[in-house]
Amino acid sequence: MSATQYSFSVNDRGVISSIVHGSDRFCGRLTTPGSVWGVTLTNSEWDLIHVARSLLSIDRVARRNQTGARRQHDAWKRELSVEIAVCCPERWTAATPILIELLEFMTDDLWELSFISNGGRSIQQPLPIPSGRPPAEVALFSGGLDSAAGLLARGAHSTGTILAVTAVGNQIRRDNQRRAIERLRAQGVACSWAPIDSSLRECPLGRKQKEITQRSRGLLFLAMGAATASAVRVDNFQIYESGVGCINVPFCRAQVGAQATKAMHPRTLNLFNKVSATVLPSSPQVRAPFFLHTKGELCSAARDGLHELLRVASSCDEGDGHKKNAMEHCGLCTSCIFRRISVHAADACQDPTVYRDTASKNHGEYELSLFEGLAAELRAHPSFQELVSLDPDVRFAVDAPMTTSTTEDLRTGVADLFQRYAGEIESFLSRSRPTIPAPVHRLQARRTTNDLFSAAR
Amino acid sequence: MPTLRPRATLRTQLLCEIHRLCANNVTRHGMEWRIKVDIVKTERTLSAVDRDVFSKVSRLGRDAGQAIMFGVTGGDFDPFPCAKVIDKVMLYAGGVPSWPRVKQVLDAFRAEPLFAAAKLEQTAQAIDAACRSEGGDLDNVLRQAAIGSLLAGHTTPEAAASRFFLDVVDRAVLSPRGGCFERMSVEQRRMAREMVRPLSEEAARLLTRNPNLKQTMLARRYRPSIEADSNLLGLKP
Repeated sequence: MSATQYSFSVNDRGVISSIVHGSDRFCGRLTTPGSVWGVTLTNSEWDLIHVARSLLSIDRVARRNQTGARRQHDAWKRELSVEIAVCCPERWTAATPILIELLEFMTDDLWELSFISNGGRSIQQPLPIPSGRPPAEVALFSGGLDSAAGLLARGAHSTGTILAVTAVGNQIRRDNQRRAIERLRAQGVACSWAPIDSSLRECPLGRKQKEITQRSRGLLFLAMGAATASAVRVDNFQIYESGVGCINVPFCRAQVGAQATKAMHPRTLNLFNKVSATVLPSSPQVRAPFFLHTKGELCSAARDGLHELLRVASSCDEGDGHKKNAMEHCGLCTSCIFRRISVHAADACQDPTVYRDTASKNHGEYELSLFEGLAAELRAHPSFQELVSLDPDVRFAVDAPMTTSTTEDLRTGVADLFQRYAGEIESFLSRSRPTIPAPVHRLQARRTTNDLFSAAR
Repeated sequence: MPTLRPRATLRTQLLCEIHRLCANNVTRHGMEWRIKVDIVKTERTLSAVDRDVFSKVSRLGRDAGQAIMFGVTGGDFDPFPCAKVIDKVMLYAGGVPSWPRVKQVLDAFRAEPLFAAAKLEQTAQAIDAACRSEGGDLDNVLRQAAIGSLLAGHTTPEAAASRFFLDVVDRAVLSPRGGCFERMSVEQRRMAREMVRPLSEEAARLLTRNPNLKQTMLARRYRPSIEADSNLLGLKP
């Protein structure tokens, strides 16, 4: 065995320990909430969120490629053995094979899971649902443009309240998400907000010491949606992700497997539905109503409200925790370019987003070339069959949890979707391609600021 | 997605920096210090960002990229550096551990042509399982290449292996940040892949013949030979 190997346990108090040479090493603690939106979670609902949070936390603390220089051919793969204490171990033991399949698809790691009893947890008295009646729809809300535009579009047709479920990692993100919800409410969307804490507390590892890939993140979002839907007695919950974002075709041949995130991939959603059916008695199912839309079309669906949303919805890969202006976008990461393409395609308004457009070591002309290359590849693969040969995981698009579409409709729909997307990219790059100024060399910049003898020259 | 930054680009930047500092009469001591800082930062970037088998051939990848660039802009394409990239990647990775099983699966699929349509997905899953159980960097590339090739209707092991080697060259030479990718047009990238195809087919033949192959020794076939009318590098004036 040459992959990076880890063994973890999560005990009944939510303490995550890494088992190294037989002794436990503290990795952090998580406190899974007992209620969502004022509704007390049942044991099975609590378990679902707890397991997903535990797996994500382990995914963050277990770094890839820690085996040393001699074994560099296994840079991505990890072998993770995890034991989690839950309220209903029987249900989770039954769900283990599907959960492993799901995790392996999302992360490209090898997982070994086992569940033990946590001896039960104390449950609060159930509280009444705040609005008096259950919401019409439960939806995942990240604070990004997709989910905000989706909420706005769905809100226009909804007869009741939409409950937006959000994973909250830090206070800055929480404030931004709250602002986005308030802006949506101001635009007439009847929505409630259910933030759920997703942070790992007391972790001895610094931000840069943690694994940045976090490929199991999607599982936590889906688990929160399913548990909330079950708690408020709604049959299904929605993800407002465009089909292009769901399938996430690799940008180039260098991107393999889970290196392109599978967080909302049709196969992920399908496997998650199976997990949910096993571990939750009410088995709420995930739905993707915008699966056959490009992000540009999703933005178009938001119509007049898009301009306001762009001021509060953040898309940048940089995150928003360390910037003076949290809404400033780098403009050149793949997420920013994707956003720009969509807003350009929606053609609704002048984009008010602040884009820095300065090349860095991580983002620059390369990302623009990636999109250019992707558009060309998509044009060269117009049919579903050809798309499958480009990215084999596209074949799972027929598993997408749509309520109405048949398999053949989905095949045609997905092929059309990517042709429209290629058109959006081409249109953006030909008319509004960002111009990147030549970088000021670091030493030049330093000399200008630190030069003590400039006057003597 | 891994950020692949060829050492080549950074070295070139470093050389430019030395020239610039020389032109500006910076003292030798100051220059050495600055260069040392740059080298340390470069190494840190490489160790923090790359860390896979392809990061070990970044210098070779630069040479191969130059050869391809020369080829797509009208010059003669020299396959030797690309062949060397394939050799080294295979050597550092210790071969492709999942290939024998993948080949078996493909052979079994071809042995029953009557049930081909029915067994397509089953075969794709078997390949997926074979590659996933090994899970090395090359196994992941092989998984995508073999399943993609199978679903495109190219069911022979040679076709899968050929696409695999094409993807290896793509990843090590064409796609890294700061290399060919930004400098080539879409059409040139397509030309580059076509240019490398014979090489990948040659490597595929070797791998199919010996599934446990750990060294392809492909570069030997393309090494310029020293003859009576050539110089010591094997180049003819």
